Amino acid sequence: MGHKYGRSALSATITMPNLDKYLEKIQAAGNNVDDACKDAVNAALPIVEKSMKAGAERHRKTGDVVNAIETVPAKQEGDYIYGTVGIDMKKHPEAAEGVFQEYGDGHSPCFPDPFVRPAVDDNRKEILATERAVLKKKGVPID
Amino acid sequence: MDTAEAVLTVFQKSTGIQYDFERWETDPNQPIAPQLPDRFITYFLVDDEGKAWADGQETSHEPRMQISFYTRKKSDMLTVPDEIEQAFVNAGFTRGPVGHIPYQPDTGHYGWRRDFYFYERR
Repeated sequence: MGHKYGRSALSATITMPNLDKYLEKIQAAGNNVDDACKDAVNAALPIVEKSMKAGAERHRKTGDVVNAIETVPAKQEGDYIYGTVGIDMKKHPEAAEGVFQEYGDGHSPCFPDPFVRPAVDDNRKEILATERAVLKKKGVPID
Repeated sequence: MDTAEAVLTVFQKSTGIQYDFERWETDPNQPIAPQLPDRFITYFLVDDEGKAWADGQETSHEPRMQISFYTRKKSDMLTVPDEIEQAFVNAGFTRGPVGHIPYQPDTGHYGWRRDFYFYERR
């Protein structure tokens, strides 16, 4: 097959956009740019986690899906700083029901009822506002 | 939606693989497995975001559809997803994220999904 196969994407990644724009201002303010961005990402992760768990709760049977949702604090790879909320399917195969909820199973009346993608999409304004508030607190002029 | 429906209608005629919107209709009071075909497709609208605006009006948008394929025959996964992709690309869609849907022991189906985007001017 000419495409990737065998993955079940059930996680959301939060990043810091326009990093370069803030770099000089943050450094001028005497703060570490990386730490400021990590703090901003970490501050936004609970918003996504709360929304994702609420979505999974809508179809709670065993609790496996809700309990498998984990937050990984901000990491850095070069200039790329990111945090992750979601389900690691290799670590939590018992949470496969979450895949059916997110993408459908072809027959269940209540599925699909996505809870991963909307956790970011529906909270975009709050996520950005939270990140901006943290950066501002760190002495970064936002506007 | 109309364009996706048209693609699937043609695809159904050429391959015999039936499709339904969002999910295959079943009677919840009867056992599920016998009601499902060996192979079937479902589709639904994931989202539909505006892409460009002028004078306060949206001038283009890009609906995203998820197409899911279910089969009880493993070897179908080697050919049918590629055929679905080709049909949608030929109709002007662009390919989006892809993944598998876990095997369902209660129905015996393996699953595949892919999102397709369709750029459209208003």
